[in-house]
Amino acid sequence: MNGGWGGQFTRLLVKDLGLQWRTRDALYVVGLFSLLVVLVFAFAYGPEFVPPGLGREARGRELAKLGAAIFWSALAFGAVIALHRAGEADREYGAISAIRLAGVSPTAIYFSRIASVFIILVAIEAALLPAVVVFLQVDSMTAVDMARMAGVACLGTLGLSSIGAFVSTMTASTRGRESLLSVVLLPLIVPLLIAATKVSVDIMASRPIGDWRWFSLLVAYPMLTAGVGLALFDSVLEE
Amino acid sequence: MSGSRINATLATVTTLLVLVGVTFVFVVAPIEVQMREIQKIFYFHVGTAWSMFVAFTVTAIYGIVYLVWRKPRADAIAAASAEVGWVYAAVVLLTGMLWARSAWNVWWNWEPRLTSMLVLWLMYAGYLLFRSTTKGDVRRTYSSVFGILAFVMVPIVYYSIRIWGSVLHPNEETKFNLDNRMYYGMALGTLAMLAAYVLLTRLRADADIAEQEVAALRQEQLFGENAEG
Repeated sequence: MNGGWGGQFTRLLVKDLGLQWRTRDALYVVGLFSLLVVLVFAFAYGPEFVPPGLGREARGRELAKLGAAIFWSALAFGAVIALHRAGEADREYGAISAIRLAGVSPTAIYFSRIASVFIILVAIEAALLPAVVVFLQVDSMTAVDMARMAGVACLGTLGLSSIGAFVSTMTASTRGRESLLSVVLLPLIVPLLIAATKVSVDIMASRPIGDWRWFSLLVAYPMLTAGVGLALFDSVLEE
Repeated sequence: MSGSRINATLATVTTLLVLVGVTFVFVVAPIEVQMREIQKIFYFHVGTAWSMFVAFTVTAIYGIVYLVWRKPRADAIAAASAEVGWVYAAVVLLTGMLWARSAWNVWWNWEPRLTSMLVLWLMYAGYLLFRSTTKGDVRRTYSSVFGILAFVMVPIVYYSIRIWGSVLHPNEETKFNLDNRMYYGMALGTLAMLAAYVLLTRLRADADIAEQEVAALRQEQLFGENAEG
């Protein structure tokens, strides 16, 4: 394939997004599924479960806990489906081997996969976050809080996509791909989910971030796993 | 010394260490004032935890060795080590729960060490599952890669107490203020679990290699000498 690293990356990204956009079913399925997860949690453990008689601030804090936990759970489940879909297109007809044969750099493949999954998940979050705010009554958030939440959501999603892009490439070539991906991926993203949820609780309750250790984990963990991914992606593609 | 001689020696050493360790822990080591006999769990709990860290480190190192030199033996050792490590992790969790029940009256507590330990156990469960659904070179490469990736969690488990603090697990200073006899008991427990780990890993790796050889021979018999895969 012609073009430098940037050219390869852009073309792969456009190809990935183009494939998703052409059918759009992944977007709808993942979006609707994530929304359903939010609703299931809202039914099972919704705002009614917050004990009455709490002060305004305490109630806001409790609702923020619910909102953050449910937002990230829904996103984690949605990400598993999105990642599976992303890997599926390349696996069918051995497209990934063809891309490799065309002389594309493995890092370009890895980063373009991260970028495409990231963009799809962010698009879904854009709909998911308002749903959480409305259904779980996390409505004390100001515009500034929303912007902070968007920032944290992007950070967490970047982590999800960097770990996911790597693991889904591996599971794509195994038996029982879909179920295996979830079993392997979910434990790997738990540290990220805990960190993202802890940080989001503060933001959803309109407070400054109380514990920066969680924020550091939110930044450091994806960097660590992406580093491992970057170092080993070539070996993964060889098989 | 041949492989089976080494294994026999290891088995003897392990048995002796376990016997001496158990005797020491129950006869020589003093009974702790607060927890009474339950505190004896500690010797096995700590020893198993240390050996588990060693096991997962070995898995990651042999994973790298396999990716560089592509020797099936390295992969067999990495996988065997992960398998034993996973069982050890389960033992650590279970003994921890027994301890928790008698010390704090709960089976489980979501404190940093327990939480990260559970995540670690789940990651290696994923590793083993991943391994069982693949075959041949794909399996070797992917499980090596996965063994390295999952290792990211090991330092998190180790440092979880220092980073987030823990009400239930002691920090470094307390460990060195132990009664000498308790300290020796802990050392013996660790040595015994470590020896058992080495033995089990060797046996499991040998079995894995033998399994692959049998499969290759069967293939050869069925499809002639040049057949592959």
